[in-house]
Amino acid sequence: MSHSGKFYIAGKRLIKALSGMNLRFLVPLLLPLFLILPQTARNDCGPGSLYGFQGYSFLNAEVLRTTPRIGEFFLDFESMAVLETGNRQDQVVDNVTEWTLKVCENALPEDVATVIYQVPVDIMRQLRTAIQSRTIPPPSILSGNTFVNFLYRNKCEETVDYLIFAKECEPHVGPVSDPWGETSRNVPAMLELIEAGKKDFRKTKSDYIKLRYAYQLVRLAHYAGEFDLALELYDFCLPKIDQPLINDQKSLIYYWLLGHKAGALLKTGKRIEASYLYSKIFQHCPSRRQSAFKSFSIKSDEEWQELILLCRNKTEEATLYALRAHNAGSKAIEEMQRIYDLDPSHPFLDILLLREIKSLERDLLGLEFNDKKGYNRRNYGVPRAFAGDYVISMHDFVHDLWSAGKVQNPALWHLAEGYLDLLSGDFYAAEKNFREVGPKLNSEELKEQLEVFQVVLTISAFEKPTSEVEEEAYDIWKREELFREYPDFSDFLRDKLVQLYRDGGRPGKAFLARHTLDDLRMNPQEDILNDLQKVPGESERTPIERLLFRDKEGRDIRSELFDMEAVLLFQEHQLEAALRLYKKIPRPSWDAFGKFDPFRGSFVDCLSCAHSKDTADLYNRGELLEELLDLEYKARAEPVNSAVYYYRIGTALYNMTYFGHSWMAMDYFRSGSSWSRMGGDQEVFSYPGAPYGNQENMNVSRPLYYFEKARLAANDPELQARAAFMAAKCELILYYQSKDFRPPPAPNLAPDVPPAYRNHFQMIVDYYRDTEFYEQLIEECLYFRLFSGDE
Amino acid sequence: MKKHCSNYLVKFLAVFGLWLVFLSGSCTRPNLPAPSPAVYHWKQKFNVSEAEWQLLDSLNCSKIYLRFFDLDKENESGPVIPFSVMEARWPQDRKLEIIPVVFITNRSFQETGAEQVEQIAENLFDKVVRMLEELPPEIKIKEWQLDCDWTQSTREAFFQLAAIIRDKLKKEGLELSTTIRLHQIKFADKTGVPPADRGMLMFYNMDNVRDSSTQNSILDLDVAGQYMQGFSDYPLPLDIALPVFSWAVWQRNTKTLGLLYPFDPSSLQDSSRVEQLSASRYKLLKSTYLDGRFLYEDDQLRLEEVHPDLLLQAMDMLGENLPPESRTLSFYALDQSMLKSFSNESLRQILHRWKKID
Repeated sequence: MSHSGKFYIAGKRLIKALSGMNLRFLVPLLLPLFLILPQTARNDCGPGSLYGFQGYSFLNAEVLRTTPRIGEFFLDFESMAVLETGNRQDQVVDNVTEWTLKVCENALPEDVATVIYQVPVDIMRQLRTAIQSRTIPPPSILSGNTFVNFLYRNKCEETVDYLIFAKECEPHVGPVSDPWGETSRNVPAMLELIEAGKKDFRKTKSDYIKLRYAYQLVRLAHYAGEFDLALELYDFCLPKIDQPLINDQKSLIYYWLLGHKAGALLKTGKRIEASYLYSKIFQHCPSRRQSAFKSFSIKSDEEWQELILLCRNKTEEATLYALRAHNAGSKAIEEMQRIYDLDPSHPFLDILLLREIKSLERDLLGLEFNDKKGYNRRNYGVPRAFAGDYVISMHDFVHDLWSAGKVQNPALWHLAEGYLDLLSGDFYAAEKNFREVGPKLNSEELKEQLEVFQVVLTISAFEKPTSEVEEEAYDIWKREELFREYPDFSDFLRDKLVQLYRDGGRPGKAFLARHTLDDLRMNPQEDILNDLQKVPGESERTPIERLLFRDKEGRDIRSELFDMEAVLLFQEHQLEAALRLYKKIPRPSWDAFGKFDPFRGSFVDCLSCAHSKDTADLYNRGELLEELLDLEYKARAEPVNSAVYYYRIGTALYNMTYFGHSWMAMDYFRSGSSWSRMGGDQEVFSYPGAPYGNQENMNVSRPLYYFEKARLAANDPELQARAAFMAAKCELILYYQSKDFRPPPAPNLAPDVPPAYRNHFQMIVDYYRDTEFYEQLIEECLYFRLFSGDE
Repeated sequence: MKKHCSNYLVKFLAVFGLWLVFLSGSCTRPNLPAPSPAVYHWKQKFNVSEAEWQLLDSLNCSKIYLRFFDLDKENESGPVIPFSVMEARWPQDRKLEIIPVVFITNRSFQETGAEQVEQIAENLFDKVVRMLEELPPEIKIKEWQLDCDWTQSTREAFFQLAAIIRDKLKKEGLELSTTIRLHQIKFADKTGVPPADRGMLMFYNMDNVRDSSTQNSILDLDVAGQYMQGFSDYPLPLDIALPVFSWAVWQRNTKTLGLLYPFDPSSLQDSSRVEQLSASRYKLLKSTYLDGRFLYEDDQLRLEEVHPDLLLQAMDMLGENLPPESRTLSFYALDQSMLKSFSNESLRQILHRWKKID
């Protein structure tokens, strides 16, 4: 049996899944995208959107290629369900491999698997008939199967007889197909099979086939509940078998057989003897390692001592401690010390070492900049409270062991010491250890691991967001192979850069390293915008800055930043300052930021109604600012017409609030849900994907001010009435935002608005009843109709 | 004459005094009918020992809530299937009432649609029926029980399953009970009331076992007191389950590593291996096996036990809140540790705690 097995760990599965895609051509696009686009898998919108531990791992279980498939068992110990699947698959692979090696090396493994696992027993009987006849060909359904061809050509009657017997046993010993069905077995039928099998065993010449018969017989008896019989059959069969070896190792069937003997011993109360056998299976048989661990059962110090007495050498004894080290709550260093004292070159020492390092990696790697550490703490209890002390204890232990020179793979341990230095924050010591261990590494896997650790160290050791650091970070990003094999590099590097930028007073770069401009538009932040404006021109930018400063289409975002800054000022009614900024954007580009018609008045606020198509009514932001400033100027310069101008300003300002049809002139994103959450001065609302929330432009006091100015300045009662009506709309909104607001008892009822918020409605009734506008208002506005009592 | 009169007076006063004592005692005791005794049996093999039968006989207890199997998902996304199916060696010639209990994990109902729930209910019903096929005639079945600690998100699914089972049982003239937790009574309007004929109030596991400040997560009457509301309005008649077990909370550096259950407190008496830090906290002096589990030097154990006195107080508390109606009191659970920790007499006292003094 080949001992170079495959390794499966959670990370490796992910890597394999990713490597199934041809990422090579996507990398140039991915590089900026991972920076600029939000990382939805790690989006900070609450634990509900996250799944699994959110950390980084760079440990490659392939470093243990010499030890068959131990890695996944130990390194992903939490995922027992995954391991169970893996174990079943491993058993199939191991079994097929052994058949191939022992019986027919020329057969294709998939053909062997077909014969063993899929061909029904009656077809196998036809094959036997064909072999016995010497003239009848094999069943046509098996034509082309290389294993069948071998069996037929070489007249392997014994092997076929065994396969028939095994298939006859299978229904009695296989997992229950219907978990809701009967769990009891047909014991009489199983006992009959045992008798038939014993006869076949006796006449079989091949030791390998005899071993397989022995396995079937003991298994039948075990599952039939005939435990004493199982033990008798074991004692009957084994002395008659000259143990076959596969690549100088005992057959895995021997260990499978041992497992059933151990099971029978367990059921007959011989727990210690059973546990001893389980420890041998644990040591030698990867595909049954997990079940051996689960069945291993020692309950007292006395039993433990008895168990030790059964061990024939220190390696076996050391395996007992390796088993104990895998109990939940075990103290790894204590058990590893015991293993080392007994057998310094025990292979399980390496495995336990990597397991502990992986746990410490979860605790400590990137802890200072992992933005999901709160989530990890709440959901996984990571980092463990003692991790800080433990990494030092483990470090010292590792150093002592490898420097004594007795462990099987001292280079691995030396490398591990370096990584532990890194995890504990001693980058100097880590770098020194990595430098020293490099020449000692023989395997490609360890060399690759060193390379990966060195990159992790480089990133971890970044101190300030200098241009040199950015250049180095960019060089790391370009290593697409690394990112494909170790996908955590993407998050690790990004999160580190975010931390550097944040600590280095570059909030803008920190933001864009993790989010997009769209995220910022939800609630533009002045400090972020100011910082981003410090990024120099294209020719002077670092490669990272070039990446950050591009939008989804690859265009420079400078103008978009000016647009956002202008909108912020616009919201504060700092029109001149806003226009000055806007003029930094090339005028031909102004339309690209949208066109709006806020001067269009309406009785009813309609967000979804069509905007004017008349270009004379449409203004881009820059033009809007110019127009508003012009109106202000005119209102001051032409007092006789000021009412008209003020009314026009008020209309625009109202329509550009959250409540108006041109809200997008002064805001980038509007959420309908904000309506039900508004109150008081609140204008920022939480929103998924919005790191600073969603800011809504809900302040109607400024348009109210202008409507009042218009009404007071107007001579024309029609204009006065209009201004009063618009002011009344503002008053109603203020009522909705106030603490006085009481929702109506039913949604189809008008709210009962207190008189304090009906001043302007009352004004219209008192003073403008004779205007044409009043008639229109009665016609158009239900609220006013109800208020006035007029029809 | 004078001496004779004074003797008579003393005796009268003594009897009168005793009568006053009894009267005052009975005034503080709840005036409820004594509950019928029962036990839970929660092991995979139903094989009651002679000592356990003797205990049951001494309590006149012939009712056993017997765990038949657990239901859980095979894996995170797999189907719901039975686990740890009970292996029965039915006692012959013994009159018993068995209540088949099925424990259902909350996970079984997560992301489980109505059709799947229906299928699970059918499978559950058929399996219990099959398991009852070999039942001796002396053993009666009048009720089944579903044990599930449902949550807001799984409530609908669990209630659907309970309703299906209840309908099926009704056709057979049987009743359905479900386990109820204290918070499900206090907040019944939020948690809902399962569609069952009776509820079994699980009067234990009240506090957070992982919290290092918790004294006794099995039964803490201060914690229970916060939930003693809503009993009179609760629509299901309630039976009670009281704990008769103990366990040890295994801790290291204030972090809880696990629960040692079942746990034999006498294993903490070995002063060469264990140091007592306080009434309920112990420290391991060396790495060693303790009651079947390997623990390490400096690990700590918080022993949580239930004593008869505590159960008497629990009965008093329950008696003050439960409406007067007949009900069952079941001890969780029948095993060797129950026999070790509770004498027959102490269990009898608990059972008769509400008995009126005539």
